[in-house]
Amino acid sequence: MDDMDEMDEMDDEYLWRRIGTPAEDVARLEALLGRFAAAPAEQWPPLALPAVRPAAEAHVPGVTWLAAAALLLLSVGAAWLGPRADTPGDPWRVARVEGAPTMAAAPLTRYSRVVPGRWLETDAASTAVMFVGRIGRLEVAPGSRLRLVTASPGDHRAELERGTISAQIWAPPGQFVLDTPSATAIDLGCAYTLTVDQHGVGLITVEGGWVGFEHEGREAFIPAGATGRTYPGRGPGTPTYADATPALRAAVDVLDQAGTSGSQADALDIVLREARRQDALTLWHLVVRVDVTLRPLVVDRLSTLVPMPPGVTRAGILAGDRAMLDTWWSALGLGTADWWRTWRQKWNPSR
Amino acid sequence: MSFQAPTREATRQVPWTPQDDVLLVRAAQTGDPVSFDLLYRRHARIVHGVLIGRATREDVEDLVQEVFLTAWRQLATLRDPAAFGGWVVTIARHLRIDHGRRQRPQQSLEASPEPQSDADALHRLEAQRALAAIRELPAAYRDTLTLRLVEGLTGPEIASRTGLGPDSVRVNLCRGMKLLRQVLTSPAARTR
Repeated sequence: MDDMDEMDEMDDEYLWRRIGTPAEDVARLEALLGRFAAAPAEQWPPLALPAVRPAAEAHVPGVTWLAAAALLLLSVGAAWLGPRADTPGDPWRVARVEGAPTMAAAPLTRYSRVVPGRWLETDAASTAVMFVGRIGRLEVAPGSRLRLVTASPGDHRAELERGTISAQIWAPPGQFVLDTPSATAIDLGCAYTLTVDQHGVGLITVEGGWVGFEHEGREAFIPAGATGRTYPGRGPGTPTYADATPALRAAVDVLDQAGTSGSQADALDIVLREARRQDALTLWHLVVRVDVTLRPLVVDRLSTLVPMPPGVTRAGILAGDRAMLDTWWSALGLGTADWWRTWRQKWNPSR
Repeated sequence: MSFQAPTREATRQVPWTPQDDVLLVRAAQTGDPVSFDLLYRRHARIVHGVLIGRATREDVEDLVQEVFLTAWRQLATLRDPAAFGGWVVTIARHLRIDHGRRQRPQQSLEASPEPQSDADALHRLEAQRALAAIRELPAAYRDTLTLRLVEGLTGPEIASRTGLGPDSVRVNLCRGMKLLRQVLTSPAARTR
């Protein structure tokens, strides 16, 4: 191999994967041209989309968006005008929006980097915005207590002890995990609002994409338009669509907290009666959650809404066959179970 | 003077596949603006990289918005949700052509802030000269090189997010780099 070939091979591999030692002129070009690169995604101004579904946008208070937009303008300016040095890891940053939020009990007065383990707290009159590395943004509502646990490339983890955050994550699935007192929320590329009350009960409303909830093997998949609760000691409850009937939603809340067949029967009757085609999401979760004596009722109702696909049998489902449940899930039209399992495996390899 | 290759955005170490967009695209096709905003933030960088190969930085910010507003209006026509990335890149290329027709020939490449020192001024000048050289290359090489050298994407990421075949991207990178070297070391470039 002559010198030119060796040079080409080295160039080719570095150009292709950014692995190895770059040729000097390539390194120089990267350093020079980086100044023209796009700002990080969280610093892009919001799109001014024509209103198509005003109801869907009504979840986020306007004043909060205005405050965040003002902050974004400041940070965009800083990003374009300042040096574009890349930082090691993926640091979080936080900024005060309203009132007097604190970080580690000290007043948060300026845009600053977040140190893992220190609690951000907002009182009744305070709000803040946290930037999740380069992959997303959290709006922290009044009365919240939140801390960063880890922040490394592809692995961002935080803990919400109480209060409300509105998360917008644009990274690929599985990079942002949020612990609450009653369950762990794993982001699957989405936007959601999560509230934890003083008893540790969580309520999540997903506005875009998906969230997976898990606690000690009990899991819930919550798509856009749906909500789900989590309960201390029990983990995630059963998700329901926000536009399901109030009777169904109330009955699901009862079911999630009822412990015996007798106390579940009346609520289940309401759920089965009120369920629409799209409420197959709720019924699928209930298959393994209701008392075993009630399980056939759920399976039969679900099969009238979404017929069992080939390879799935009533007996198998009643026996709790995981593969059959996953296959049936894939027939609901909400994405494949493989997709979730892949990301859960990455996030929690022990399961 | 030697330069060290910058270590950019470490999140790119995480695999990203077009399948990750499917649920968001489907939700956006039903009119969900939140899902579309997430798609916008995922793909804005690559659209930016395609546009910076032709337009000024000031124009690029407006054009990126225009690309995604066009995509929002036409989203119902996208049949394969997993093809969203390549589809917005195609929209960007069309808008870039339209923008090129409208742009005045003598318009300067970049309106940069005042340099803070002589060294800074030299770097800015050299950076502008390098970008100008890339802009003179054929489109296939130009786009691949801006995505690689300006935006810092790897070859597999460029292939995945533009819908191009990996072999094509690899060839474009290699040949484009050779051409760029020729342009930058030509006597005409040295006297610019």
